[in-house]
Amino acid sequence: MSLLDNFLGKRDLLLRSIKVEIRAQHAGTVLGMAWIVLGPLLLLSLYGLIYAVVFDVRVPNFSRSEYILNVFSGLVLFIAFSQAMSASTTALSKEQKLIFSNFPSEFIPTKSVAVAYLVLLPATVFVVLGDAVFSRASWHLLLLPVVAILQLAFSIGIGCLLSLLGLVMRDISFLIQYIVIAILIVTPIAYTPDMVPARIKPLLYLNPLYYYVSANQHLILLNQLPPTIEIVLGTAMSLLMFLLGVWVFKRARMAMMDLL
Amino acid sequence: MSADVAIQVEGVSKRYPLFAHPWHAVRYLASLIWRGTVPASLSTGHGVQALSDIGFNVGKGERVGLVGRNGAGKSTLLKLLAGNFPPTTGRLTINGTVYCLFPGAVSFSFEQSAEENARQYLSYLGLTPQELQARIDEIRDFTELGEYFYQPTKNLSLGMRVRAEFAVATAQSADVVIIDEVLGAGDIYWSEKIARRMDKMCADGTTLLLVSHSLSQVNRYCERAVWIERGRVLMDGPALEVTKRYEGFLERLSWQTDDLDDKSVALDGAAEEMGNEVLSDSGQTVTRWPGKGGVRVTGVWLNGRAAQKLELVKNDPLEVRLMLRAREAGDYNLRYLLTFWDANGKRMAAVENETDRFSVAPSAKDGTHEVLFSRAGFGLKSGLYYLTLTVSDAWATAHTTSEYATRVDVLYKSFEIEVKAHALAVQPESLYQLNLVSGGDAR
Repeated sequence: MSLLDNFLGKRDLLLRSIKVEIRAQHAGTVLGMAWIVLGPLLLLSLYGLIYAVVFDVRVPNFSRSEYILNVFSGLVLFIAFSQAMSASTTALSKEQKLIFSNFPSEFIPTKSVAVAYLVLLPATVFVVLGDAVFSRASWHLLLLPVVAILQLAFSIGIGCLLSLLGLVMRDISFLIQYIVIAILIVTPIAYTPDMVPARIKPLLYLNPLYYYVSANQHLILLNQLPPTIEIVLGTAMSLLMFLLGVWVFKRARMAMMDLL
Repeated sequence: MSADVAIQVEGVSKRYPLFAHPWHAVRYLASLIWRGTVPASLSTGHGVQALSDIGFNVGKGERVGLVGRNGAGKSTLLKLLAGNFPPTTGRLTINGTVYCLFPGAVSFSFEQSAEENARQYLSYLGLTPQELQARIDEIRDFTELGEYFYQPTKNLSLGMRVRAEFAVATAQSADVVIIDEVLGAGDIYWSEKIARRMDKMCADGTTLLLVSHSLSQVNRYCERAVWIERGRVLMDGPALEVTKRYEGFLERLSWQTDDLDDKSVALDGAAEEMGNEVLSDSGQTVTRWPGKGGVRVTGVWLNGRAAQKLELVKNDPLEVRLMLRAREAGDYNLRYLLTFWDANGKRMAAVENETDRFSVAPSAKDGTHEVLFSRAGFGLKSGLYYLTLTVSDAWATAHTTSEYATRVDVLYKSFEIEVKAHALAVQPESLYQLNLVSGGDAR
């Protein structure tokens, strides 16, 4: 299957380039790689402070710490997703030299998305630890990587499209900041789906991030699998978006030469 | 495609779309995604034709230089090859692995040391840890950075960084190596070291495609050159033959415009015009550069022979007899300059005579004038030299700095002199005074 040839045949190259990128990002800092762990820790503490102390939201069936955990399990996915979106819009213009080399060009947005997703690793560990301490851990936690990988696949697909769009419309890098905030608002992270009025509840399903956030919250807090319909839709959407993104990207490859 | 061909370029054209409005770029992308091809309206309408119907083959192990003005299409061709992009029409095929060395292809992260940067760039190659370490040691030794090799790049001087980046960029190789203007500058010591490293990189069996504005580099590294002008192959042949005509072309252009890259200024059929010309009196084929005319060299005899190539042993004297024809009657005051170039395009020696004053009477037929001058012996070391003969107007020289006004006629790298056995080496650019043996009024 020629669409995914490089992903299968040259995955070592992809992994190496991701590693190199991560190391380069942290070079010259005093704390170095420690930021990979510290960053999410700071971010989660801040959000925790706002939602628990400032807003002090009370949700039926959840203790305060459980509510914060619930926020976190959605938030970590959102952070990774939003960072991946902004990184991929500028990926092609930043990595021009890789376009004119034998580095597979679909790896360029893939790489920037994957680097953004690094945050998910330590953040998920914190949430899982929190779950074990403040709530009840179950075997469902083992399925968290599946959710993460599906969302990563979706983001790579979106990232491929955004990187092309960033090439023809510089505006997208401005627009993306507002889109990110909009997604944060429409995703049930700080609130639960039950709090949404029944009338507009179906609209939740139009938000792609909803499926992953909901899955994480089910697995971590509710200790159960998400509804079957969400599993089916979410998985199908992830894989389709990944394939569509890569296909479009390869098809529009010519634009990279003509527009850069 | 035959197995001995490394790069095959067949009827390749490339057209860049031009967008009057940012929206057109979006439409272009949409159409590319929707139809999978560049929209016809964009490929025929607004656009820049970077390459039109280019075709040539590069054999395995061959070293080919691409020359041409800025914007002639060289870089477009390299980009197509490097990124494996489909041309607008035609076909590009590469046999074997490709490594492209573009300016800025290796640019160090300032926060990391040269060593860390090198490790990162080489990590793409898939070497074993031992091989990787060996390459890094080799880079460290080449760069001669000492302790600076382990310092963050921001602490390095520009020269040090460029050197290290060059070392990393050239620490890899492939079956086909494509180089675009990166053979860096530097002092003589470094340019020698860089040259040796390049030699190593393009060692036996490596196919080299080199784009350079330095024609001496093209002559040094390539045996063949392709001259591209306004997206077309103007000339394809031995490096020396192509570069000397290209030089003449630039020379001619410089008389018409200050901007050599101005595409509206071009000389049609320049390659042919710059082409071989047979001297009417002595019969050799020469490359004549344009001069202001008035007097033309129509015959050259080297040591009495109307030869294209002359063999000299040791300190043999060189005697040059010239036949000149003046177009009009008048007083002439000319100076003759012989320049010796080595095979790498380096100027090795120049000899000049005293000014030769003569006048051509109105009654003289053809205004012929014969000059003979000689040089007792050259200190040139053994090897092959190309000889350029320049006739300039000594009066004009005193009054202007414009080459155009002073140059009367030039036969560029038109004769070969092979110096055999071991004579004394000369300093480059040494100037000898020639003895004017005979001259005077035209017959």
